[in-house]
Amino acid sequence: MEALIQEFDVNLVSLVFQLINFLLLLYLLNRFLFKPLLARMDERSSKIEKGLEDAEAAARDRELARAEREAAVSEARKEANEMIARANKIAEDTRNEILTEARTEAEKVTTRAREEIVAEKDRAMAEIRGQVADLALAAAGKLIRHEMDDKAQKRLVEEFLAEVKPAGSSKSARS
Amino acid sequence: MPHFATEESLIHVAIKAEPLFHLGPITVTNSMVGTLIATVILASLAFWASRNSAVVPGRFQSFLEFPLEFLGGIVRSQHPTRWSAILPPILTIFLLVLVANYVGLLPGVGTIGLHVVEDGHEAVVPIIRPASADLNFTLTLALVAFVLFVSWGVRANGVRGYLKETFVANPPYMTPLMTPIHIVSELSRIISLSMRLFGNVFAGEILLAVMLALTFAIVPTVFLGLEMIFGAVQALVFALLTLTYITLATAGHGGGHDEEHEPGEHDADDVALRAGAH
Amino acid sequence: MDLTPLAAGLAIGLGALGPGIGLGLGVSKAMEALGRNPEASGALFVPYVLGLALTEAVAIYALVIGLLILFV
Repeated sequence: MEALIQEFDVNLVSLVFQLINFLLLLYLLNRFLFKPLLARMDERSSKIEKGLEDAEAAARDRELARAEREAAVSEARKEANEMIARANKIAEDTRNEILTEARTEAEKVTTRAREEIVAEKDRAMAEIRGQVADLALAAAGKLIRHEMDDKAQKRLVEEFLAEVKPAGSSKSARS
Repeated sequence: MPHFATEESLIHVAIKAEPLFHLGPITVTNSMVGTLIATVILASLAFWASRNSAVVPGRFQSFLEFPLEFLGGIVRSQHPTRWSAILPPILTIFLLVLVANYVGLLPGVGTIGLHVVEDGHEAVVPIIRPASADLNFTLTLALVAFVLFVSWGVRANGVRGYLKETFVANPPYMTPLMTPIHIVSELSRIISLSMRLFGNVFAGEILLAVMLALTFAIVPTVFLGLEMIFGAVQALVFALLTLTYITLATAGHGGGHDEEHEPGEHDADDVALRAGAH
Repeated sequence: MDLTPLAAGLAIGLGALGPGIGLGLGVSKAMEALGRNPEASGALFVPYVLGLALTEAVAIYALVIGLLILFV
């Protein structure tokens, strides 16, 4: 052991020097290296943690906003759809109304026109009948003036009238 | 024969730190210079960090934060309540060992030296020796680790609890047999911690020197890269083992931790490994 | 004839034998586990490094013994 210590030159002066050196270094490093760096590292990790949390919160907010926006959009779309449907219905109703109105109006107009036509026709018929009788009388008078005397003429007219009467009565019954 | 540095050999191997000059009663050795360089590098990094650290880290700050984050995560996962008190010494050990290892890889370290006449023949004493290639340095760190895990054990379980846990075996009648083993295993942690680091760095230095002497330019570069990996791994191992010993000391018997396996059946390292696994 | 260098070489050589095998076994098992379950790399890392360090310590002890034989 003696030889060992001597050969490796283990001596108190060196040991004490190394010990003092170590303790001094321990103090220096602890004071100037470990503490600041550990503090910085802690600060950094807390900052990173906070950053991550913030990011998470932001993502959550974004998600929320997106959902909200989507809900609003879908609501608006639904509303618009409803509005369109309502408008469509109103338009349809209006169209139908107008159509029926027009149809009844048209019908009214046509019936009135038909009635007028019928009345006109009747009136024309009556007029024509009167004129036809006069014309026939005149034509017949002209034709047979020379060969017939008054007696025969009178008889002929009477016969004619008799013939016409049943036909006229039947015509008037029809209208 | 303390040196290989004979006339025909280019390889300078010194198993211990060599004295440079005397400052009153204090002999300043070249490993002290290496220690001071590592300390100055770390202190300037610390001052830089205290001035320029920002919430959004730059490239350099991310680089500085990496060990903090990595070891901090491990310590936090094993000691959720006490991590803020345990972390600084562990981190200091890690960074100091790391930088001390890397100081040995700087050009000029171990090669630029003073000519001294020693034991009748001329020798070159390097001005800077990587601190972890000096047993004083590693032994100090191992003692610090020992004090740390003992004090945490006492703080977690009380003095009586700690002594009981450490020195009383599970079936009490086994105590006379187990107690020496326990004491040896606790103390052997100091030896194994310090020797592991010292051996690795010292062997790495010799390896580099041998390669440099035997071969040409490219081959040592490969080993230099290898030594960079080893330097980081050894620093990590030292820190993680310290943490594991603290975890073991604070775990205590209360939780039925040792119910299923006899504490004496495995040596301390075995148990430490298992504790490191969860 | 001075056999000290031979003793030192044997000490480190034989002492590196066991840890060499042990490291190989450890790394191979770790790689196997990693191949089976790549997500476990985070959980594996710390025990892996510690295990390698503890195995390697044996070789370091041998190195120290070798150095002692050589120098003391």
